[in-house]
Amino acid sequence: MTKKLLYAVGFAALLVLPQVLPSELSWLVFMLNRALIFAIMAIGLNLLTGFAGQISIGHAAFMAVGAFASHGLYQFAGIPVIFSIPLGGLIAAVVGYGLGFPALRLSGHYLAIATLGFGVAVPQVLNIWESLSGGWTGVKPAAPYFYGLSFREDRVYYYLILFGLILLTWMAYNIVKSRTGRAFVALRDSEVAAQAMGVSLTRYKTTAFAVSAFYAGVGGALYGHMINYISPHDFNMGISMELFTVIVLGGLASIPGSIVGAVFMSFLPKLTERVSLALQRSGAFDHSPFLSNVFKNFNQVLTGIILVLVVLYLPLGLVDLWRRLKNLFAGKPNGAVKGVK
Amino acid sequence: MILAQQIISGLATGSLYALAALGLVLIFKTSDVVNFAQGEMAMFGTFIAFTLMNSAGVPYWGAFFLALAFAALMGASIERVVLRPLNKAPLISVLIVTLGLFNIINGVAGWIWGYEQQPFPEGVSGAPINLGGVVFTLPNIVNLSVALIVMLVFFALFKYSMIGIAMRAVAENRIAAKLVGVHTNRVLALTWGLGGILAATAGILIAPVTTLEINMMADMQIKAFTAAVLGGFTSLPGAVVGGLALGVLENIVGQYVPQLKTPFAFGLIVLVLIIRPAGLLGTIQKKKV
Repeated sequence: MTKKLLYAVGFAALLVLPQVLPSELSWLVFMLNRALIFAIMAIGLNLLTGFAGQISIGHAAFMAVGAFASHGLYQFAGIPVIFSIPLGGLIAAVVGYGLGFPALRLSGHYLAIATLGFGVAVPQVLNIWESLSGGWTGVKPAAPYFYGLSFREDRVYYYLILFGLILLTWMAYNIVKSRTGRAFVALRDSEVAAQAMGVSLTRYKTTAFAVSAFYAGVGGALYGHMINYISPHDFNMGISMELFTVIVLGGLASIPGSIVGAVFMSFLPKLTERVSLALQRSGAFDHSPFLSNVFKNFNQVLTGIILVLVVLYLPLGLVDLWRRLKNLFAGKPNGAVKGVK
Repeated sequence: MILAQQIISGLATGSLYALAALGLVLIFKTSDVVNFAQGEMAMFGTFIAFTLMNSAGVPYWGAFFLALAFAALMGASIERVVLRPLNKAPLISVLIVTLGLFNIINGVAGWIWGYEQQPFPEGVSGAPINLGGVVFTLPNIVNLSVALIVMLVFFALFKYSMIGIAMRAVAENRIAAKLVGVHTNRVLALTWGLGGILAATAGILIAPVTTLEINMMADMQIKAFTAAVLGGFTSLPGAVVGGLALGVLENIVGQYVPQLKTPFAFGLIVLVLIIRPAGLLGTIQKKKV
């Protein structure tokens, strides 16, 4: 009962959040939108990496496929953006299904390298396909429009993203609880043992890639129509790495972890940017080119340090912090934890 | 003749890929870690050499060897501080840590040396050699020879020397190696030190081509992975064969469709792995359930 009440209050808070923010903080709404879009993609990547145990460090490629597919469907086929976004996700899913086949024969490091190559190759191929992607100049995806309601403003677009996130989170929970989800986990823990139990490697690995690519594609499409300007090279290794960092940081094989990680990683750069701006105004950089260099690229190092520290000291991610705190206050030992491979 | 020239320039680029790939393979062979920070270790070592030459006035070869010493120290410290606590951790944790190291090393290099491109000198200079219409330069020859020498030296080291046998034992079974008296930690630290040396060597030879900047290894690293996968991740000759093959094939493809060079490299990885999951010269590692 109290749990349900808590959810209701949380949901209501999310609904009114962009409306109650004062206008000088309106950039926060954009950041929040970005964070929620990344949460969608992180859930997808976590289904693949956290649950099914398949590493992908080229996920921005699926994002690019979703974004440009959705733009193309609207531009050339006249499909309303509100429908082209999920369709973009489906097209990404088909590509993901395709990538699943070579991935059948790869695992671990080899898969990581293959997906890295995929992540580098897709933007370059899109770049050559200029009629769709605009090449280096990029394209301007239109804002969604639905029965007289325009989603051009961030404050309105927010609701579309929130709707997508809630729907896809619900879907992810159902996948995890289903036969498919259990097959994913079995594959992650031991491919040979899973096969011996009758889990089809082909079927579930390709499914995992397709589902994950669907999430990334929807996220990419939402992202494209939000920022209204995309070029193939926006979907680079940096984005893939950020997504990967998000799921590790938030917690592998944890859906709430994906969301927490996405929000954290989206707001962290803004925070350090603010700090560095303040320092710059105070004149701290005037005499030290080193300090100014440090703050030009503080995030990257911070991200790296966070990754290393999380792996060393918090292998289950930020979500585990909550459990550890609860145990601490209840006077319980940390106890055994469900293993994550 | 154009084809011959394409093959020669392909071999020139390929020997750089091979150099970058050798360090990856060395570390993977012994410690089972694919080091995503290898390229950044190379870049950092190269910057050290650059600083020694430009700010301290050390001559080229002095700076070269001092940079190698620094890189060895760096590699061994990374093993000691970050990777040793993870020796029982699953694969993905180690992978993430090397990605984290990538970010840290790349970022810190930017803090120290800034973000501009710098020219980096060649170790040898001289007029290009023209052999019956096919042109190659002295650095081309040096790069290829260094790649081959490094490959041979480490191949022999692994096969015949005591320390090489210890490295293979550690790779095969860490506990068993310990039981027969191998200092596994020392062997791992040594491997990472050697990996650092190989990284810095590659970086210093590559920098004149790419110009020196913090992201100089970004593209090179992907090619090095491709080369290593192509040749089989556990084989030193494989890294060289893979690097040279990739360089030549890529150059020939680039002749006709220049924009498709990188997608081609990716397609090649996938193709090779589908046919031979362990690469051209690699051996399949069987896993216990």
